[in-house]
Amino acid sequence: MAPEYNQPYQPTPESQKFGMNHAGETLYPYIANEGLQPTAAVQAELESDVLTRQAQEAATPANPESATVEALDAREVSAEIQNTARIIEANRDYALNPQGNQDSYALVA
Amino acid sequence: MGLWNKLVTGNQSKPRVKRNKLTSRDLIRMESAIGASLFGPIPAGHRREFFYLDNQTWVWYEEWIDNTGKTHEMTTRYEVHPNGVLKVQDGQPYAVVEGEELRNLLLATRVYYQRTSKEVYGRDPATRQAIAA
Repeated sequence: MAPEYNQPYQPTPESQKFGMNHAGETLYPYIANEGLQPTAAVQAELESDVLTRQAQEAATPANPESATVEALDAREVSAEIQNTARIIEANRDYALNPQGNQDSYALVA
Repeated sequence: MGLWNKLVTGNQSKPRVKRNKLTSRDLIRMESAIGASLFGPIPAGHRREFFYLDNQTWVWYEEWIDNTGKTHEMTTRYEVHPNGVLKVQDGQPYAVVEGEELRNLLLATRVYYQRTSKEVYGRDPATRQAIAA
């Protein structure tokens, strides 16, 4: 029913996807380009953010793809994800306690 | 009943009001519905969740039935530490998230925040101000 789970592991840079488990099995899902369209704001951010900057600094004419992957700074990525998480927590706190905050919180879902 | 109560006791009972108090779990459930949609279409028979839990932990849960009818499930936790992200899966040692997987996780968290901010909380993700109805 899900034959992709039983396929042998064939590691290539292109096949490494978000969700690959420790045994090397490529697990569904991954971010499908056809299903996920970054917003214009995200695209603009990606053009100017640290990922692109580092990739450009580390890119060589011979192998720009590997330079893009290798140039990620784990600390900077962690810092951004942690900051995002704090904002999400703040969103939740506001939604759970709107009376404690000055501006009204519209829960639309 | 309220009128009867008033006639007997002099008190008019208040109508029962169903109170639905929002909980953190409710919010996570709503966010997870959005998180699950970030990774392309969900195959038939699969159940997927992706959400921010707490304490800098993100959860990806996948459940499916194989061709023999057996149910499989996998829970992956991404623990975000100052020096990097660790991936924890059932029965597996911790693994450092890096390369393309790290990049995809970063993009996923960005879009997760943008969409939940708008679709769950009615907030502009850039300004964090309430979106006018």
